[in-house]
Amino acid sequence: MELDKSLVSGSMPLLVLKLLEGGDLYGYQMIEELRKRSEDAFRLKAGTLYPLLHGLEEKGLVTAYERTAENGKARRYYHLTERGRDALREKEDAWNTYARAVGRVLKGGVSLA
Amino acid sequence: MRDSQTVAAYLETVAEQIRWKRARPVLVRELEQHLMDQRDAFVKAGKPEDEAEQLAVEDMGDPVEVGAALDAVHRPRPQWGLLGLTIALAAVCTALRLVLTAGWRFDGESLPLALLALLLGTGAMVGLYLLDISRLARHAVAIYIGTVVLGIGCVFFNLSRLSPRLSHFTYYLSLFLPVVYALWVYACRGKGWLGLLGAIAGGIPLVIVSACWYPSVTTLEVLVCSGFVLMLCAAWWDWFGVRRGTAAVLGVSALLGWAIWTLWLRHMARWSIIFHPEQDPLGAGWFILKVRSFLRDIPPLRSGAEGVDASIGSRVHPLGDPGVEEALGRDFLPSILAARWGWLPLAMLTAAMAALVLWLAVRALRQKNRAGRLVALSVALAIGLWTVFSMVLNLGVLIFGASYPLLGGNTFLVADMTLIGLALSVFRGDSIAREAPEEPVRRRKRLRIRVEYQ
Repeated sequence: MELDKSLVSGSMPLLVLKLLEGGDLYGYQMIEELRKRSEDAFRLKAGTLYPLLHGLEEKGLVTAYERTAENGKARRYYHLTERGRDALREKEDAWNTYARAVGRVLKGGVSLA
Repeated sequence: MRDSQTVAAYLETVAEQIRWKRARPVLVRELEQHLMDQRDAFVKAGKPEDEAEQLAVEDMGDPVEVGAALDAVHRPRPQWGLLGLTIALAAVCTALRLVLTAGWRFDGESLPLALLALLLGTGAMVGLYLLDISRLARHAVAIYIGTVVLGIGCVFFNLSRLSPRLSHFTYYLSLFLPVVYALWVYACRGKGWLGLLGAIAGGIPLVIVSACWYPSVTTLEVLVCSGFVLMLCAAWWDWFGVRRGTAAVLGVSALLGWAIWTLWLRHMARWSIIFHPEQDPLGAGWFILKVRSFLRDIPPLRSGAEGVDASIGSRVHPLGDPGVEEALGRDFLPSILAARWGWLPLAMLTAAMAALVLWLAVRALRQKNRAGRLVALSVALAIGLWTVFSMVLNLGVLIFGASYPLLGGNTFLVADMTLIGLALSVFRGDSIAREAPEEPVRRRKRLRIRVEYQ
């Protein structure tokens, strides 16, 4: 099933920060990792990922450095900063609150009385 | 690397959307790397190369949208505040130099030359500000070796005998040695203990170059003090992959050793004169006695070049004799300023200079790019240390000759503004500053010796 793009786009910073929590990655690895972990539900375009990563870097949530990757080529790795970890925690909390609320509504658990 | 028309056309369209030209190659490089990875994955999955490239490009998204999104993130960071403060300070210092040396018979400032220096300094600063100085980091070792070779060359060809005037200009070149050392420390990163020792040892040839170029104690002290701070910062940021504590102990010990040797043992006679200036009334002691005498009982503000002596009821020169100022020289312009107009103008000038140095240092420490951070920090340290040494001299404590930054002279002003331009260029391009690929830091295992006895 194709996911509605508007559902995905708002949560992209959260997903990218979460991926980096596990270790430093470069852009291509992030897209592949996201695809695998979401069981092909999230197929993020590189053209969306890089502006997003650069925006996170501007905010100081991630830092980047160049290093030679396993394939012997230079790649730009991204690293989650302490500020990024704090932002990730906040975003996770907000997402969980939102998801629980949506879940309750969908299950009909909210009374209008 | 780019051998495909499809990829080239795609990246060109992306680049066209990015207005900041300096950012284009940097941003396109990352996208190109990604496209190559994606193409290789498609080829591995059995697609023909042409089709793989086409699929990789389609997978990345609309090039116009991608370029526009990157353009929105990457804009140059104008440094209007720092540019304005530096130019304003340079203009004030030029005006002060003109006014304070107006009555001097031999070393008075010439208005056309002072204005030319201000123009040249501003041009050099703005020119460097607009240039991409990331290339400096890419050629860090070459710049270091070139400086050492140039230094040795000057000694070998005995530059001072060939041309005393040209030899004098090497004094101003010495002001840039902290930046060269910063680049050397950057080049030593990621090499463990060897890198740390190399960073320390690499300072020695620069010290020799500094001493050979122009035998100025202050230039040497600024290089060594800023060099140790830069090296300690690099160790603290874990650039060498050695234990911070051990590196700090090593660095601080070396710094203390140098400080004791250079400030105490090597210049013991100077300290003796500082405590007993009357023992050398015709030499260095005369400067100290003069400065201390006219700094005594200075009011916050004075009316101008001349004050009114209440005891005799007539206008007198604050120093007693206008010739004393010229005899003291330009290194003492700050204390002459205080003597003429009171301590408040000097305090205001120093507060503005301190604000500039602090601003530079804070911005330097916030830089993401490591080479840029160290280069900008070296500039802040150099300007800051010159200010400190000059103020100490002008308070009648130290006798190392030290010009007040931007105030000391025309060439000094141009050199200072050029240095500041280097730092501003780093700040302007931080958004796209990229590190060269590097090997992971090699951490050496600790050796353990186990001794067993029966």
